[in-house]
Amino acid sequence: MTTQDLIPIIPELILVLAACLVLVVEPFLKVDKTANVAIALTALLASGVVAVGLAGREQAAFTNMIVLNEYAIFFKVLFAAAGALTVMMSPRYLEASGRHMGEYYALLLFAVVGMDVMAASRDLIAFYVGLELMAVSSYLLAGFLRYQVRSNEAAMKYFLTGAFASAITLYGISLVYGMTGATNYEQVGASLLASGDSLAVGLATALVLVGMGFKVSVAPFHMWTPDVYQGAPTPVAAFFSVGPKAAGFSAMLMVFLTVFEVSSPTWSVLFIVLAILTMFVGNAFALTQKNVKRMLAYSSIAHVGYLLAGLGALGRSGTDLVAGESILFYLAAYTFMNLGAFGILAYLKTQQPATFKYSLADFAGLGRRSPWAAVLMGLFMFSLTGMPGTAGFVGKLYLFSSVVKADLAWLAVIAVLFSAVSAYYYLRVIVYMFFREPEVEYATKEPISGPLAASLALSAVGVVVIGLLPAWVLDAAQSSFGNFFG
Amino acid sequence: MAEKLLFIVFAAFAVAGALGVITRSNVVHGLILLVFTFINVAGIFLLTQAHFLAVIQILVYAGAILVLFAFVVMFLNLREFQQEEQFHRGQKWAVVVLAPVMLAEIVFVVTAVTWSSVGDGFTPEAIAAQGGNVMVLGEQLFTKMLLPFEIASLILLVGMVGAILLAAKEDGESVCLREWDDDDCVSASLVEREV
Amino acid sequence: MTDFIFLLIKAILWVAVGVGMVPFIIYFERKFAGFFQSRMGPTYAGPWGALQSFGDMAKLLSKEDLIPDWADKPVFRIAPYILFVPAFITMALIPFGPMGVEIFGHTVDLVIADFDAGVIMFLALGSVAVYGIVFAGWASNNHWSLLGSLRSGAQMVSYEISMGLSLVGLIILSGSLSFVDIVDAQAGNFWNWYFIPQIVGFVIFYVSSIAELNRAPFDLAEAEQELVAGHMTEYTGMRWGLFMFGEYVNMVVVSAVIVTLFFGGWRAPIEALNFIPGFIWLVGKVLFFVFMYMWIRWTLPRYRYNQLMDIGWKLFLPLAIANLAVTALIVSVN
Repeated sequence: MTTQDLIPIIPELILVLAACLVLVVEPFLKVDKTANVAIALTALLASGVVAVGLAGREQAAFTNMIVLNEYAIFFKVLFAAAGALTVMMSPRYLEASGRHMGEYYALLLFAVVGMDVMAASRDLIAFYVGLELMAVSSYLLAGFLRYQVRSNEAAMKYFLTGAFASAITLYGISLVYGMTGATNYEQVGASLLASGDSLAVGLATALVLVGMGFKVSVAPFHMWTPDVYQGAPTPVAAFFSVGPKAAGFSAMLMVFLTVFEVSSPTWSVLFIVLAILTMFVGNAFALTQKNVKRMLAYSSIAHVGYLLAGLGALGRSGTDLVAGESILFYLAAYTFMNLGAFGILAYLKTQQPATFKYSLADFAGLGRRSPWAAVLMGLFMFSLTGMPGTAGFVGKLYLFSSVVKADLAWLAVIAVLFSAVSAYYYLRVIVYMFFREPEVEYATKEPISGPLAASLALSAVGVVVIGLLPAWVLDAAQSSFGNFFG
Repeated sequence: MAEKLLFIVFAAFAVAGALGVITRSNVVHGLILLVFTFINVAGIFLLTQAHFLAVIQILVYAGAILVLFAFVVMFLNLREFQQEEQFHRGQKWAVVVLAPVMLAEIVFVVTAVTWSSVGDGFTPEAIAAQGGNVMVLGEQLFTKMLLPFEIASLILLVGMVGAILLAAKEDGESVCLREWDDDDCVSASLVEREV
Repeated sequence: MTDFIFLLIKAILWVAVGVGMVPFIIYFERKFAGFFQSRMGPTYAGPWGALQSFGDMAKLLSKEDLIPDWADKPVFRIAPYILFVPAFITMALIPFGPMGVEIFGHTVDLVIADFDAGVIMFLALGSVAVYGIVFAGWASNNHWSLLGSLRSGAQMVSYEISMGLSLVGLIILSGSLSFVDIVDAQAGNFWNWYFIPQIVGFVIFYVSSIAELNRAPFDLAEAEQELVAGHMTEYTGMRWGLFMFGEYVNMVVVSAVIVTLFFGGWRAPIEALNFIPGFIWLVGKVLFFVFMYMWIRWTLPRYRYNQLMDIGWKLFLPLAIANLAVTALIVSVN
C-alpha cells in the first residue's frame, strides 16, 4: 500500500473517521445530540463534495481491489445525498420515539461506507465485505427502536433473510473462485470467457443473482421487505428503500457485466422473468394496502421490477449500454422521490406520535391540516407514478425506451401497464389527502423541524429539477457508465 | 495411505455428528455433537496442511460461537424440544424433493466443474517454503487483502456497537409492553421497579 | 517406523511425567495450604503424610459411582473427560529439549508436535475445555451446578480474550506462533527471556490463567459458601476425582505454557548451566509456577463476581491492547 492508494477512498475515510468521532462524542452529550447530527451531516456532505472533486481521475488502488472512476463517483455522490437526506429527517423522529442516540448516525455512516465500497469494488472479496458492512449496519438500524416489537421484528427478519442471502451470494462467489482461481472482476471474467459458458457458470450466476435478489427485494425473495420497512424507524425505512437498493444495483451491474459476461444470455432471461414477477407482486400487493408505509414498501418492490427489466435489456443488448445509463438515471430519480415520500411519513409521525398509524385514513383531510406536507406528498406520489414533469416520468421514459431498444418492446408494454396500475394506489393517497374528511379531530400541529423541512424541500427540488432538466443527471450517468464500459 | 484413512475417519465422524445434530431432540446433545462435528472438520483441514485454518475452526466455531449457544441453552433451560405444532406441515414433504436436488447439485458441482489450479501458486510445498501457513496467510492479509481486512474490522466495530445498542440497560427509555405499536409505552426504569 | 516409535516414546514419557506429577502436586498443595495457614497439613499416611494422595485415590476408586436420577446421564459421564483431553493435547506442543538431538543414532526433535500455529492451538484448546465445566453443570440438573457452570463459562470466555491479547506482543517479538521457535528466540541467558520485555503481558497472562483454571481467588464457579461445589456438586467418587485430576493436569500444562512462552522453556537461566538436560529445567520451572498458584490460592481471599469481571474487561483488556500497541510501536521503530 502506498499513500497514493488512499486517494480513491478519501470519501470513505472521511465517513469512517466521522463515524468514530460520533461514537467518541456521544457519551459526552446528554440530551441534545445536535453535535452528532452536525458531524454526520458534515461528513456526508464532505464525502459527496470530495467525490465530485475527484471526478476525472481514473485510478485503481489496493492491488486492484477498488477503483476510482466516474461510475464509482456517481454512486458515491448518490449515497452521500441519500445519507444526508436521511440524517436530516431523523433527529425529530428519533426524539419523538424517545431513543435519540448518536450511534444511529455512526451506523448510518458505516452503511454508506459499505455501499461506497460495493459500488467501487473491482474484486469479489471487497464487494462481499462492503455488502456485509452495509448489511450489518442495516440490521441494527432496523432494530434501532429496541423497545418496539415491530422494530425488533423488522431487525430479526432482515437479519435472518439477509444472512441467508449473503450466504447464497458467497456460495456463488466461492464457485466462481473455484473455477477461475481469481477474485478480481476482470480476471474472473476473462477466465470464464476463455473457458466458455457451462452449467456450472450458470449455477454460480443464479446463486449470486438470488443472493443479490434478496438484498434488493426481487420477487419471490421480497417477503421481508414490507415487514422490515413497516417496522423500521421511518427515516431508516426511507434509507433502506433507496440506499441498499442502489448499492445492490451498482454491484449487480458491475458483477454481471464483467464477471458473468459469458453467461449474459442466461442472466438476461432470468432478469426478464424476475422483472415481470417483481412488477406483478409489487403492484398487485400495493393495491390492497391500507397502510401507506407498507404500500410504499410494495411500491419499492415494483420499482425494483422496472429496474430489473432494464438489467434484462442490458444483457440482451450486448455492446449498447444505454440500458445501464438509464438504470443509473432511474436510481438517482428514485432516490429523491422515495426519500421525499418517506420523509413526509416521518414528518406526520412526529406531528402525531400517538395517533398517526400510517394508515390511509390518517391522511384524510391532510390537505387542509398541513397543506405544504400534502402538496409535497402529492408531488412525490405523482413522481412515483411517473407523471410528466417529474423525475419519475423521465426515469421511466429512459428506462422503458432502452428496454424497447433492446428489442423487448413487449416487456416495455408490460412495464407501462403495471405503471398504470400503480397510479391507482399512488393517487389514492392524494384523494384521501384532499377529498376526504378526517374521522377524528387532530391536535394542533407543531412547527416542523428545520432539518426535516430542508430534507423535504431538497427532495422536492430534486424531483422537480430532474424532471424538468434531466440533462445534467443523464450526462453524469452517461459519462460514468459509458466511460467505464465503453 | 494414512492420510486417506484419517480423512475417512474424520469425514465419517463429521457426517455422523452432523446427522446427530439434526436428529437429537435434546438440545444439549445436539450441541455436543456440533462441537464434535466442528472438531472433525478441523481435522480435515489439518490433513490438507491448512494448520491455521484448523486451529481457527476450533477457536472460533467450537470455542467461541458454540459457547454462546451453550449459554442460551442453559439460560433458557431447554431440556427436550417440545413437540410444537409446526406452522407449515407441508414443509416436511418438501424435503423429499429438495434433499435429492441438493445432493444432485453438490455431486454436480464436485464432479462436473473444472476446478482451476490453485490460485497464485499456493501449493502446500510452496507455502512451506515461504515459512508456513501463518506466515503466508498473514502476508496476504496485510498486502493483497489489506482493504477487505480493514473493512472487516469495521464490520466487527459495527457488531460491537450494535451489541451495546441492543443490550445495554438505560434509564428513562420507553418500553412497550403489550401493543404492537408505540402505545402503552412506559419508561424502562418504571418497568424495572414494578417487576 | 522408527520415527513413529520415537514419537510414541516421547508421548508416553511426557504424559507420564505430566500425570505422574499430579498426586504429588496435590499432596504439596495440601501441605503448603497447611503451612500457609499455620497447620500441619496431612500427616498420617506415610512419612509426613506423603502417601495421602494415593490413599485418597484408593478411597475415590472404591466409592460407589453415583449418578443422580435426574441427571442427563451421557453428558454427565463425558463431561469430566472434556476437561483434561485438551490439556493433554496442549502438552504435545510444548518442547522439552532442543531440536535434532542424536539419540541411539537417530535424530530426534524433543517435542511431540512442532505446530506452526501452536500458540493459537493452545488458546483454541483452552476454549474447548470450557465445555467440560459447562456441560457438567448442565447435566447435573441442579441449581448450584448450573449457576456454577454459567459463572465459570462467562469467566473463562471473558478471560480468554485478555489472555489471547496479552500474548500478541510476545508473538510480535518472536515473529512466530510456534512454541519451538519462541523458545529458540529466548536462547542465551535469562535476560533474553520474554518476561522482561513482556512483563505486562506476563502478568496479565498469569492472572488470567488463574481465572481460566477456576482457582482461588477466582474460583467463583465452585465457591463453597454460595454454590456448594458448583459444577461438581453432584459428582462423587472417581468422577469427582477426574475433575480434580483435570484441574491439576491443567495447572501443570498452563504452567508449562507460561514457562515456554515467558521463561525460556527448557533452557537454563545461564548458558553455562545448559549441561543439565532441558527436561529437568522445564519440570523445575513448571513446579515453581505450580507453587506460585498454590501460594496465591491460599493467601488471597476470593473476589466477588463483578470484581472479577471488572478486572477482566476494564483492566486487563485495555492493558493488553496498550501492551500490544506499545510493543508493535517499538518493534516497528527498531
